[in-house]
Amino acid sequence: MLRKFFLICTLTFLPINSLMAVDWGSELGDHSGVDLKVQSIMDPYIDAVKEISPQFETATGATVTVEGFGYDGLHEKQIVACSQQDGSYDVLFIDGIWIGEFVEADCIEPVEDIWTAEGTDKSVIAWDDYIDSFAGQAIWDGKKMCLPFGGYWHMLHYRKDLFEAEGLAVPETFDDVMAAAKLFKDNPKYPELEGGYAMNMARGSAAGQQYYEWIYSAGAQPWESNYPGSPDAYADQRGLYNSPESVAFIEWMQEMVNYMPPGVEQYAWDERAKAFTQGKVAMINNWSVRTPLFNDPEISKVMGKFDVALFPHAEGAESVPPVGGWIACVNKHSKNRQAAWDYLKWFASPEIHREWVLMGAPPSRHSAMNDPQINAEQPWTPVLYESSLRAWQELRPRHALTFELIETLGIEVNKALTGESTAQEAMDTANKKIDRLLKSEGYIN
Amino acid sequence: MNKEKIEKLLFIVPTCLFLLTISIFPFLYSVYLSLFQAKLTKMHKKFFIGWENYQIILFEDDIFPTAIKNTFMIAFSSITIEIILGFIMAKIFFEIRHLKISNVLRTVTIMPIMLTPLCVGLVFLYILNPTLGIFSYILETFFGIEPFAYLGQPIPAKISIIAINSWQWTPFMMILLLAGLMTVPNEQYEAAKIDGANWFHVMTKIEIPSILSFVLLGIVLRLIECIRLFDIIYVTTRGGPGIATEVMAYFTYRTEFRSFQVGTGSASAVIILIISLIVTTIAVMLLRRVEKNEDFS
Amino acid sequence: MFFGAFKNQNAMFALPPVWIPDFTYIKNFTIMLSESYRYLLNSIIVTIGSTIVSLVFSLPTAFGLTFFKFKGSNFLADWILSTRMLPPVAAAIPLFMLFKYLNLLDSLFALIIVYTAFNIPFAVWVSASFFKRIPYDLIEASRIEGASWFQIFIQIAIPLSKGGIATVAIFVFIFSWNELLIALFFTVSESRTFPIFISAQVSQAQIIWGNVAAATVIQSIPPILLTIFLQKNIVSGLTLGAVKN
Repeated sequence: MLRKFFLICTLTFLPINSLMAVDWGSELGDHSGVDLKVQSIMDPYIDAVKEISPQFETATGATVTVEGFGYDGLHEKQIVACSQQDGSYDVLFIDGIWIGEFVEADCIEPVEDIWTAEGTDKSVIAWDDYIDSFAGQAIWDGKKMCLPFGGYWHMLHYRKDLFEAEGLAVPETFDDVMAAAKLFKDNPKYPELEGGYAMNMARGSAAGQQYYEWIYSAGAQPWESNYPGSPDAYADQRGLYNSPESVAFIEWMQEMVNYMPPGVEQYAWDERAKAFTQGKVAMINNWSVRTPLFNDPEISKVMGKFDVALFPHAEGAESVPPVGGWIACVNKHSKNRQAAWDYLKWFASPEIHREWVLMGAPPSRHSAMNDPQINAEQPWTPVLYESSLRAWQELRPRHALTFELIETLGIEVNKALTGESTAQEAMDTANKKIDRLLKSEGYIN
Repeated sequence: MNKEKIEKLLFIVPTCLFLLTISIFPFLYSVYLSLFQAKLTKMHKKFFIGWENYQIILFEDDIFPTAIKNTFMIAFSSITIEIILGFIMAKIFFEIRHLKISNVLRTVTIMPIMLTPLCVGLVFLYILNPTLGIFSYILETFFGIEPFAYLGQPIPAKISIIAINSWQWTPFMMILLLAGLMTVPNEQYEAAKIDGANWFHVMTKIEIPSILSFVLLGIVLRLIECIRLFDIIYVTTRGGPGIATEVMAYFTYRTEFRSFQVGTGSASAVIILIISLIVTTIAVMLLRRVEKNEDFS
Repeated sequence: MFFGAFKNQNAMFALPPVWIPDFTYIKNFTIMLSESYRYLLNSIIVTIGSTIVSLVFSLPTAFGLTFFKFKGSNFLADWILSTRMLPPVAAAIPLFMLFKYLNLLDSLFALIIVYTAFNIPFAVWVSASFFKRIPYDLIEASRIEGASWFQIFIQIAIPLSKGGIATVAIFVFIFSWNELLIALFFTVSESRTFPIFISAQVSQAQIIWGNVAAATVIQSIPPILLTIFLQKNIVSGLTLGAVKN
């Protein structure tokens, strides 16, 4: 009763279309006896997924098992299994950038087809409530393939207390970032700091994705027709990885390594976040999914001491915050497709999404971003919302070969950062390899 | 007579058939696939491209040649270390072979060989962690060396892999060499003593010749293991930093199962197979020889 | 050096990791086991299964290669041994396609078959080296008495080679228990083995060292116990039967 009252209260703050109370009793079928298996990344939101799923069990009689994997392992397992017509997992949570590969491997039952056939009420899906840069992650060849649920955007996270003590302004440009990182590295005033900044530099997906995350804000672009606002980002894929701006960015990173903690060459998402949580670095750029961890008193030493800002940009370039995140798909080879679809539309719906976000997950819809309670619990939401509106959806390319592009870049960038090659050599090699890869698959001539 | 023949065949044929499907079939299929542009996630769309995959991985790309180089570099360095340390340890065990404690010591010593390589890799990953690990703690407290990412820099990463590999396999060499030392007839030592030969003479003139075939066998068996080196790389460096610890098995795994390019991956698999076949032929010859020696002693 | 390394391991496992101070030693185990007992069970089934199947295939073959004199028996033995040396990674994709065709991917059965295949050569070779030590007169006498080869195999060869069979069994057991690469290729969900579970814990997303340490301890128990109790057998197995105690 109280819950309903609260719901009505919040409704008055929100756009009409975003938060209709759905009658789940009639919307969801009876799935007694079904063991629905969900395959997910082991990101911090997974606990909230496990926490909220019993509600679906109560409503439908199904049991829901959520299994978590690491990033590379998840990709490997998911695509290998479903491309071999395996239906072990009914619901696949995939990274938006993998979608081309999954469609190509014939893994996904397009949600657009399902809801058209079923005649699902539009307010349940509430597609317009998704932020554009994130909704685009679930569309392939103009068709809506999966339901977005866990949108991430990148923000600069910095130690408010340290910046105030030094009288430093919030960094906006690459130069600001470097100056501040330099100031905090090995500064006797702050012995607990091991570095001024931390980035993802580990070989593979970590370094490869980082390249795409930064390159636009560095004033460069990965290939001819991929720039913010491009009408068709995949029209001309001739590589620009070795453009002067791109090489300059790699050189900037090479210098930044000096102001980072020891061992940064092996940092991936978790190490980067941990370094910040432990108070070992003054700044990181980070996906919004991990921001709540910094305010978790059980693990964080920087609770209340940090703030967020827009992703930094090079002089003369604009900030293009990276967008990423997870979309939920129905495995085409699942034996429980109906239950899987019911789970999807329930889980991604504005109402359940809001509850899920309040359990510590990242807000991904307009309605959630504007929700007062979410704003109160996750005070960085306004900056996040602004980042989400500025983001470019093809920033981490959504390409059927995306994993290989990232892997190739990850190796070359990592080589440049550990001194195995110069920035120019590394990016020339990357450009050559990617060109050859795209040619062999017929993407360029 | 005929009945006996059938009985005899029943002893041998099932296993041979089994092995044929599991060893000859994969080889032929790898050769076949290596001539295609093929992706595991869309096998129905594969098309014939001839030798191009070999052309790419061997001559156009730098990663697989580096992987071959790294594999043999790691093999060569760790086997050398293993022989030297293994010989010293074998000598020690030889000297204390009558003591009761030697049995216990030997059990502890051969433990690393049996441990799951994955776990060995994990333990070292932890030990070498620059902020949490014991290794950097020791270096910092006793030698004042600032911790850094041992697995994140090309040369330290290579050294770490070699060290882990040698740590796990030195006992193996030790056991082989100990067996070799046991074959030295006692009279030879006594004769050397009478002649007043020093330890160096004993080692070069008596011990080394008699353990030579054991050393060779050890080298070849270890080479075979090193060609397969995968688990430790998989948990510690994943081939990085850059391509400093990329090895053949990991490259093949990565190409086939992360990029799903099974055409290119099969080409590298075929090359690994050919290299292994050569090493294996030598290994089998040596095994026969050592076995004969043993039978005579 | 070795003691040092072991102490480090113990220290790592015995102390609760300092950066998660609330977790106690035991708790790591219970949490980890409640998540992973099925994978542990899978590992046990696959390990024991492949050990038995390997013995069933390889002992008769080893017996045949030792006692039946026929043309090319040496060559056959060499060929069998050489298949052991082939790196598993080179066979992974073809076998993957084969089992996909048979619809056996992600099954414990497939893992047992593949592990058996990788172990037969070794098992044949080592058990043959033990069979060779059976005095040939003994076999001949039984033949004259009219025993079939099968009877000789069961009644004479096996009882006289118990040590050798134990050696073979230990090694097949350890191989299957430790195997990672093939399992990475072949398992999806139901058939995941314990090493796969452990390696998933250290993927790039999040490492919970407490759990990893607990899992590592459990994974290490069988190898450690086997080494302690069957050290002698291990020595001869390591050298493919070339060295006998």
